[in-house]
Amino acid sequence: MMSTLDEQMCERTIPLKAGAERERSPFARMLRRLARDPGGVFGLTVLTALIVIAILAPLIAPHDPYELGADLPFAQPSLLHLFGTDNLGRDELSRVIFGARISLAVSVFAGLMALVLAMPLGLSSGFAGGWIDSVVTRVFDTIFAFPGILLGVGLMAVLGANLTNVVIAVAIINVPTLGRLVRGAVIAQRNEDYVEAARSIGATPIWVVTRHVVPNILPPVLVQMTLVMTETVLLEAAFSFLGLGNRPPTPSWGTMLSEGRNFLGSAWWLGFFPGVAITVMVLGLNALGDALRIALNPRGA
Amino acid sequence: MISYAVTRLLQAIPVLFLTSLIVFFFIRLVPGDPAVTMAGQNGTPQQIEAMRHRWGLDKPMVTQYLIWIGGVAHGDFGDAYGTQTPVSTVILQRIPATLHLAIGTLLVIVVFGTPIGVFTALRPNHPLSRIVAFGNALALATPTFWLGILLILFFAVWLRLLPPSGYISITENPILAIRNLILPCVTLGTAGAAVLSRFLKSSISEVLGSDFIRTAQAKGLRNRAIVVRHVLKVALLPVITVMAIQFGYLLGGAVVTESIFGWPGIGRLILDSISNGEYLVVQGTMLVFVATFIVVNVLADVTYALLNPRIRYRH
Repeated sequence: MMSTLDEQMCERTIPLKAGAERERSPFARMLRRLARDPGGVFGLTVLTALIVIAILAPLIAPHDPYELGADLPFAQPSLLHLFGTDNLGRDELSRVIFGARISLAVSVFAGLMALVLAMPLGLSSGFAGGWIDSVVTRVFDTIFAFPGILLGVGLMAVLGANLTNVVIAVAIINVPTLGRLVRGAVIAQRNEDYVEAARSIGATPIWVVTRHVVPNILPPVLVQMTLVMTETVLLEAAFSFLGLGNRPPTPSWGTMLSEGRNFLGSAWWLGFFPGVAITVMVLGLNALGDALRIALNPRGA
Repeated sequence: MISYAVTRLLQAIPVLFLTSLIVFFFIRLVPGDPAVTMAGQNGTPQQIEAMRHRWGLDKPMVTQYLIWIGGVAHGDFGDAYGTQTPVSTVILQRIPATLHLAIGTLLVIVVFGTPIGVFTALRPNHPLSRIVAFGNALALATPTFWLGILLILFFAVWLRLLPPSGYISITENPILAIRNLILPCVTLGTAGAAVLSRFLKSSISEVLGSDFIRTAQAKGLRNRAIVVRHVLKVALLPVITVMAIQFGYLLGGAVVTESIFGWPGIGRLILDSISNGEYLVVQGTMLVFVATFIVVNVLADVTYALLNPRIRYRH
């Protein structure tokens, strides 16, 4: 089935660079293009580093992130504690390192959940049209009419403040964005010859969509997924900051900033380093998204 | 044109209806019973029951919804449980603070976003334009609340130039009001300014490449005249749409920003009301939020159509 995608990609690239890119899989080709783009390299590096840090957190962290009084409270950044210590004398660097686990886990799970919810909705409304399309579009419009944070605050109040519910809330917030994109992409594909060809040999709509349409709309969906993950990182941090997400003492970057803001006068580092971590992660994801967009669409925007 | 605006507003009615349903049933799923809260810690079961009856919370959900939505249709949002003042009054009291914040933020977005966008489009290879591109990426990656913390740290704690929090009405004391507004508005507006300048840049570059600009150059118009009279006139159109979308983000961002800067606006009202189980306040405020958002979008679309002849003549 990948042949459909392959042929499509080849048709696009080969006339320009005759046979220059003949890797077997589109994935390998995409990685190669990413590696040539400085933004792509930066994004991949940040993401890989974060994954490594999150997995190896217990090995990398210089101290136990929960250990009270690892040093005096509010110790300034020093060689012993690179990011200083917090109001309970815990090592801030270790807490930032463990915080990567939460940001990464929430963004991956919420992104996947949004995809699982948005794909069937967007596919059916785009491909079937008619009343299904009207209903789904109205529902998307309504979710979209709520500012994201506000919807999240409401959802968190209903569901209760914990990380699982952050994942659910953030996924729901992102469903309309992703669903609309899928719907638009499907509508663009619906009247292509290959769809008609598949139908004419008797393929059922479900077969046509899953086997033929989905592989063709994957590139824009993949790009949008990086944006969804960005949004997710920012929302998780915002919820934890408002006290609606992660609960102390588990270190999450948002929670750490929320605690640190009470000590800005005496310990600036508590309001600084967790924010740097969030910003670097989001910068990396954004750069990766931009590079993916270019890599997957060689004819340019 | 009027019929276009009316159609767009009519299309918003099902969305508003769905919103009212969602908000109403959603808030009732939040753990906690307002009747218990109102009866107080030592409330007897009889007192709780009396409270429930007094506020109609003992009626079936559907009846409660119909009573509420019937009132809303007449502009009556019900009374707040705690203070027993009309919800509309509660919301109106909070609007000035949020309005200050919204107008200030839009100013920040336009005042910073427009010149930066125009400059980077006209001089794409200038070293400053590269710095701006990086700055924009940074601005879009920085969480609003962290930017707020950094600004407080720098301007309020270290330099002691500006107050870290608090709201003063502009009618009360214009100078103090503006001093209090600067940090929250910059916090909330930075990302928007980055979006606007990026958008303007691509929109201007696109116009600069089009045929009628080449014609203008060929007939010997000076560059300044071309930019002001031809390019900006076309390139500024999509800005209206961007600003309308920004307004939505602004409403959401207000919840976080108001919480950082101790700002007594609508965003804080929603947060507080959810935790206090003030059903009617949450329902009313959410509905007002969504309605505002929809109206702003319709206004933006209509303005866009009015200024764009290609759409204007179609209606």
